[in-house]
Amino acid sequence: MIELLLPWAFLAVVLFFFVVGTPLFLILGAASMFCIYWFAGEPLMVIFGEAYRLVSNPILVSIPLFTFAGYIMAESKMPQRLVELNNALLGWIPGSITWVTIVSCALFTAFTGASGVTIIALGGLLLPALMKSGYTERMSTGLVTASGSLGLLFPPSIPVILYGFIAGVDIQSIFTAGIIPGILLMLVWGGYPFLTALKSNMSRDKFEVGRIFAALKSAVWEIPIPILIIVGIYGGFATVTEVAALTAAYVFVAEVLIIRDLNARQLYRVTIDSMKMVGAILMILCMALAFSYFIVDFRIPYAVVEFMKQFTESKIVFLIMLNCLLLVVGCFLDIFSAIMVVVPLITPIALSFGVDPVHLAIIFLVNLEIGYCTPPIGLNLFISSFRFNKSIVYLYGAVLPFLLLGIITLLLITYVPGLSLWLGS
Amino acid sequence: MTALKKIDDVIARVEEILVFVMVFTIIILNVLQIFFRALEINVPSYSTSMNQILVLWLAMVGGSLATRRAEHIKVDFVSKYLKGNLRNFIMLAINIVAMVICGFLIVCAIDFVQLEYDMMEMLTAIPVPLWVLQLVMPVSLSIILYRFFLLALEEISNIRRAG
Repeated sequence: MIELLLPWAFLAVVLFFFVVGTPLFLILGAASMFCIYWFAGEPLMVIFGEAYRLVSNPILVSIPLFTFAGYIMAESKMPQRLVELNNALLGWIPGSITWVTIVSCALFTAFTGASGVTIIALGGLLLPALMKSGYTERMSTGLVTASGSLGLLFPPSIPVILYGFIAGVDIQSIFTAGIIPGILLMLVWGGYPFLTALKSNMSRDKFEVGRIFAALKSAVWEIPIPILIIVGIYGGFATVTEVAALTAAYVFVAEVLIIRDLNARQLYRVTIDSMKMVGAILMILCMALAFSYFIVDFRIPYAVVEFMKQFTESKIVFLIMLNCLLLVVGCFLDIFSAIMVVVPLITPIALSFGVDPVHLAIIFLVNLEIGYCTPPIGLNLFISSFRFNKSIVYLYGAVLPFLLLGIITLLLITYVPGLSLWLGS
Repeated sequence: MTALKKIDDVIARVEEILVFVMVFTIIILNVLQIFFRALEINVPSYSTSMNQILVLWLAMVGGSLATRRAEHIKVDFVSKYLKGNLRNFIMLAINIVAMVICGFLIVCAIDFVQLEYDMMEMLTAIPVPLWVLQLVMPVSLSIILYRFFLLALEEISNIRRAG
């Protein structure tokens, strides 16, 4: 009797402590130790064997390198220069501030990986600019909140690297597959306020060659960064790790030694802060790997497949269920935890339903991108509420049109695999 | 409590310097490797094994530093909205549970290092036995446990203050 009840009691306790806010790496560590000891009867040091196997993967070093580069860029005056450059280049187009917002947020999120940083760093610049152009406060707040997670599919996005690592999918293939869905989501989210602007007579900037040159001159050291990453990764000239090392070195030289946006003290603090983030991610990854060792060893995904196939063998039904599940996951867990906890479980299930692994990566990441602004507790809603001093209920309303458009785009990306797979084929 | 916090400050200072040095070592190591390869200069490939060790150290030391200000990734929407002593008691329980789990993990890590010690494998880049470098796992976890202990003490004083 006790043998039957103990695993359930343990599960209940673990779930309770997970929900009340125990660090995820400890929850996964406890779950791994219990499952490996109780069900598999193996020595618990397997956990650290898996952790050590994890660091043997050469791709892993790109995570601290890109995170370091992203943190330095976020701390520098790069956000201001980025917004000014986009404004100078696009400001003459009616409703162009929409595209300035979309492009700036996508670029910034791709570099920094964590969408909260985008709203904090760019929100204060973009929200007043949107309202000055004539957009309502509600639409402006909704656009900035939704755009906070745009760009997760573009290099050098850490969530993509992490996904590829966990699911064993080629990272360059995911980046290539993400181009069309990523641009599509940008067009849809930008298109809605843009069309509104076209209908009304909104103010716009003059096309000024001088301003463009001034903005280009000011951002001259930052312009090569996306080129380095895009050419390096898409061109296949360098591995992800090599691009990461060059990016980190270049960003350090440009922002700290040449532009001098950060002094030595700030550099020290930013380096430590970025590695705290890396430590937090990698510790979860170590424990998640140990847990997935148990999941795979016990063939749990296959048991779930067998169970699901009693009810449906349809790939379409499976994808609908997957979308619903991931939207819920996306609004409860941050993207790193979601990837590390959910990917090992769903990958074998999705593969058994005939979903292409690269397509699955895109579905997963777009779902989480939208999950960030899904009520009731999408992370972007809380960050915007804090940043713009708005009630959370106000943000539910502001983000709703973008959420609906996002879900329509998600369905398109899910049920038209060609959108993701065409470029790679 | 003050003395315990001072010990933590000293440990954190050492960890921060270590992290700072390691980040720049990783960058220099990998950039040099790219240039050597591009210039077709034949140097022994040390970067793979060094990267491996440096990433392990960054993960453990970075994770330990993140514990200091309770910056680990977690679902905190329940504790965020709780107020007063209920919140303090839950936070105390979380920190005690965290200490217990850390304790078990430390034992597992020591067992793993013991196994590596028996195998006496050497690192290719520098003549140091692998188990010495892997000691970072139990040591960092012990520091994490210590920091959860300090966080638990802080919650106890919060409970006392709230009456």
